[in-house]
Amino acid sequence: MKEYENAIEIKGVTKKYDGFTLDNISFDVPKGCIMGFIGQNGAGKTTTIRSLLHITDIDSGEISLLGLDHINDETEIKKRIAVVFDDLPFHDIFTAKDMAKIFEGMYPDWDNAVYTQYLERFQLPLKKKIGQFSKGMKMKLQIACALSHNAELLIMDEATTGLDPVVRDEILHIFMEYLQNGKRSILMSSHITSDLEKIADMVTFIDKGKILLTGYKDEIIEKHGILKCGKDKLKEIDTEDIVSIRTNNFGAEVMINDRENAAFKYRDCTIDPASLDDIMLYYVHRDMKEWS
Amino acid sequence: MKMYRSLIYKSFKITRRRDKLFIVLILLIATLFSMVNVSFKFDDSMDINEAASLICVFSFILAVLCGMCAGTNNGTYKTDVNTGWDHYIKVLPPTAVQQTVADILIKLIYVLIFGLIIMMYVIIANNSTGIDIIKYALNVFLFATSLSVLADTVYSFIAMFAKNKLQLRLMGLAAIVCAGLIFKAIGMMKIDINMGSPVPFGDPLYGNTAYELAMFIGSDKVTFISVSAFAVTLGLYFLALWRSHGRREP
Repeated sequence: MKEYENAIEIKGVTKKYDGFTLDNISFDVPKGCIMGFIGQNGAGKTTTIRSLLHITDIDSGEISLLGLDHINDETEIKKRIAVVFDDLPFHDIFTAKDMAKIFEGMYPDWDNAVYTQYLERFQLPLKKKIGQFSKGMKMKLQIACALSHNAELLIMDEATTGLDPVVRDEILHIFMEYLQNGKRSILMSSHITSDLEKIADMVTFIDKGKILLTGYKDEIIEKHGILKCGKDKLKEIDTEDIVSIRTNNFGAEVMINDRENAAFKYRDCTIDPASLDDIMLYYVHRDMKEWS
Repeated sequence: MKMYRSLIYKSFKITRRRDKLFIVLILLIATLFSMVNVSFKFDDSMDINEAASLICVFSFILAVLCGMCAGTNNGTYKTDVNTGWDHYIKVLPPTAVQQTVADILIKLIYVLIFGLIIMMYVIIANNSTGIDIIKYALNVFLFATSLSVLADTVYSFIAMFAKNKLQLRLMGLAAIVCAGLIFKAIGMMKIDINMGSPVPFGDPLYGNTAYELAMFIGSDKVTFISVSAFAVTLGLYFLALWRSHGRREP
């Protein structure tokens, strides 16, 4: 098996549709890392995931998964990865037992004992039809299937959307356990930034088909801040420091991209830490400069 | 092999009810026909003639029904599209070729099951009446299967290329119209076949048109054509499905 440094490498990938273009996107997911892939609805998260899984062809660029080419080595890759979508793609008449019978022939490393353990942990019945499962149970089943063949890379496309906080927390906890051996990686796309703040090591922001930011989550959060000041003070702030400005009746909130530096330059202003949510919001409005 | 077992298991699990229904219906029809067959007395030449005609007709009907059941689309494609499995399987290990081979194996299993039913019927008919129409029934079965497989291939082709429901309907309608025109053209063709009588003058079955036609259809030449037609349609089916499974989404 080929050794690799990055579980996912995307270089200069472009994919054009009518009215939308995935434009020259590049980012890496290091081995052993959880990457949060954040963006609004329609930003290009699913298109990116479909491209790297070769569900759709790309117009240009290079993609490698687990150190292998995503097209030439597709068969080998798919034995070693697992994908979880937001909708369960299993027929309603199947049971959890049926899914085991289906997947054990497909994956050489399928482990029935591990699958059964996850079913017990998630309290999923073995012989009940999937059509009678709740949404949370369906997602847990999909995750149990994904985690039962020793996959080195787990790709999740909006998998926690629509789940209640208790189920989401349970699932996130399972993922953190899954990564404990340091050899497994996760790419998790979501617009629920609170989930990614909990577990992601790295984040990549995408908006309108372009990568805005990519890097370690803590560094990104540490670098950004929200400077609060009066509207008259805005003229004194360097445009280079500004991501975008949100105005209201009382003043302005400026997203700055270098908090440490800004603390020196604008000593008389308050600079609050920014959450991933804030960072996403301000970056999405970056073209407008001022918005409310 | 485990891969194919999984794919075949998945398909048959989905179509289990439909398959049981078809098998039960065909067995009921075969039983009904068999009961009629055994009611004939074969010491009377009129009865033998009637029996031969009826057996030939019943065998034809049953063989066509078995062929249609064996070759027709079993509905898994539509189910896969509705559940999103056709999208999901692109991220699973089975390659396009493996999925296609599994589909072919499923088709061959249906051919085996329904082929066995029709063979059992004609063997029982042969044992009770002495009229040997095994090859005739087999050839009709293979022709009917080939036509059904061809229709399924066209359906897969249309499903592959149609981008939305409207296109699917229009292409489907075009296919039906084309099929109708082809059948009409074939129906209007004048074909002279020198069948000859399979039995000598004086035999009770001499001059029985149904029996003569059955013996012609059961001849070695026609057997060669039916087996070839089946092989060719299966080959076309393989190509259509292979393209369909290997296709990437836009």
